[in-house]
Amino acid sequence: MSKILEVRQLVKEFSKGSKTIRAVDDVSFDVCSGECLGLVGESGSGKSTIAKMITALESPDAGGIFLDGKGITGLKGREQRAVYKDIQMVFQTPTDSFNPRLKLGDGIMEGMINHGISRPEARKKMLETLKICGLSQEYADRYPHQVSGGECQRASIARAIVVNPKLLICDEATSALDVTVQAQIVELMRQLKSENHMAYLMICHDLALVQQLCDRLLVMYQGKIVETGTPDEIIMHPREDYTKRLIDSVF
Amino acid sequence: MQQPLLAFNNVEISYDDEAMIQGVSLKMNKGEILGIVGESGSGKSTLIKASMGLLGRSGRVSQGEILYQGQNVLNLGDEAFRNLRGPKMGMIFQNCGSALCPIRTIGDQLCEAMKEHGQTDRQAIKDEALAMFDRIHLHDGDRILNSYPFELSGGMNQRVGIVMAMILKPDLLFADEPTSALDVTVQAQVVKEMMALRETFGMSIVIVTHNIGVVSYMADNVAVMHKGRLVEYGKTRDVIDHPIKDYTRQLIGAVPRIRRG
Ligand SMILES: Nc1ncnc2c1ncn2[C@@H]1O[C@H](COP(=O)(O)OP(=O)(O)OP(=O)(O)O)[C@@H](O)[C@H]1O
Ligand SMILES: Nc1ncnc2c1ncn2[C@@H]1O[C@H](COP(=O)(O)OP(=O)(O)O)[C@@H](O)[C@H]1O
Ligand SMILES: [Mg+2]
Ligand SMILES: [Mg+2]
Repeated sequence: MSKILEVRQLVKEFSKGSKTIRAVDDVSFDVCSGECLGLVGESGSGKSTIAKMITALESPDAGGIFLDGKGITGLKGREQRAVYKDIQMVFQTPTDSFNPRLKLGDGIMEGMINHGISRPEARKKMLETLKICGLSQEYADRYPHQVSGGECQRASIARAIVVNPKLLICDEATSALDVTVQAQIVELMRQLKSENHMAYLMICHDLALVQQLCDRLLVMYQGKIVETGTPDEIIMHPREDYTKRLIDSVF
Repeated sequence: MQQPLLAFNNVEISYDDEAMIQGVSLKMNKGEILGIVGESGSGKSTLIKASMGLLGRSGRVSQGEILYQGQNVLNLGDEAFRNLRGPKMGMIFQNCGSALCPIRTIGDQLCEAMKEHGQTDRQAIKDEALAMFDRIHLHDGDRILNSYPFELSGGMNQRVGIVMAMILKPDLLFADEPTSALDVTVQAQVVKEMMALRETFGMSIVIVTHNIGVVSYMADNVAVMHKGRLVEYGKTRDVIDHPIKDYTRQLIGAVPRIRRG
């Protein structure tokens, strides 16, 4: 399988007064096409910060990020837009994916229209994708504050997959969903993975879900990757203290 | 018979005059933990918001009554509701990050919330908050207090929301998906903390969660919501271990379980 994403020695620091926190501390990993890479770990260990650097919402202090072998940090304008058609993200808080003043349907169509797809065609694709994500047509005309957290999250997944990205980053994308909807989304992700070779970076606190869906797992603790392996290896034979505690805490 | 702390009698709630929740009747006693589980969009948050008077402009309770200590909260004015919220009824929001004010530090927001309820000793408030933060694995509490919400991770903001609600030791705590953004070690600690508050102060808790394991561990009774209706309601062990309704069976059947080899 070909490497889609390469992350090399990534570092990100934040300073607050006289204190500096190394939110991401020398992190490297790859994601191959059709692969689902899980990122689990301590709350505050830098998972979302990594996702934000890959999607250019934050810039790294050191290290590199490569998409199909090409460096993508510090790109601007048209070049950046071209790259970010291939990388989409579903955020931890679903409302973050949408402009509160736009109806969900318009929010989902925005990306397609920016990439030159005609309005009627974009609308058709938008409605199809809503349906795939388990939302009926009427949701296209609702505003983000008029839907439940789970419904909004399904709409944001629709917004992300509607442009056929090569890599989908899911930051806690299913935590607002009940387990039956979660199962539908997981099924959808599986399908996109096998049919379109879509790759995933999946940040998730639910170890059982990670075990179902991911091919490989990274465990983060205090800004560093402390353990890697297949989900079964890590869950059945955890090596690090933190990983052991994590697995023992599952209800 | 003890008077229930909170009772829903045949409640219907509408958004923009369309009934969203219908025929919900529930009762909880002081010191009880009630779990609400169910479909995304089935109205779990709506039930909680109605009890707290937070339905907003488009929503209203269109039938039935919600009684807090025998008093119908639907007849309360804004002022009376404000006095109830905080020390009597507290809430952990589903989306804590956006429930916080984006342009003020956590510490300021915490002190302000406490001041509204007559606590003005900043140092005492801070000390208590720091101790609580520490127990739920936020060991650099000083940084948290000096931060703005955007400077914190999702799980950190969620814990801020938890501390803001719990520090007032409300008689009744509504917790809307309180652990969804937390890693499981922190989740376990937060659950422990809630149980301790019930032990020590007799706090009653309504917890909405998708985590059936958490409900199963914490709740005395469980309510299952589906399409705006209460489909199953009873003792936790009965509902979780021997569900009667199809939807409940589906829900419990869909819970992903960790394989430990
Ligand atoms: N914009 C920012 N300014 C200052 N500090 C930040 C900022 N963004 C993140 N941080 C800090 O960086 C660290 C990592 O945050 P991040 O959001 O990546 O954690 P996370 O692993 O996604 O956690 P969670 O599981 O709770 O979502 C935290 O200590 C956080 O407070
Ligand atoms: N302000 C609102 N205006 C119109 N509809 C709303 C509003 N808030 C929620 N809804 C709808 O009410 C239903 C229940 O929402 P909610 O109580 O948030 O569900 P959940 O069970 O996931 O917490 C959903 O279908 C949602 O779309
Ligand atoms: Mg995060
Ligand atoms: Mg909700």
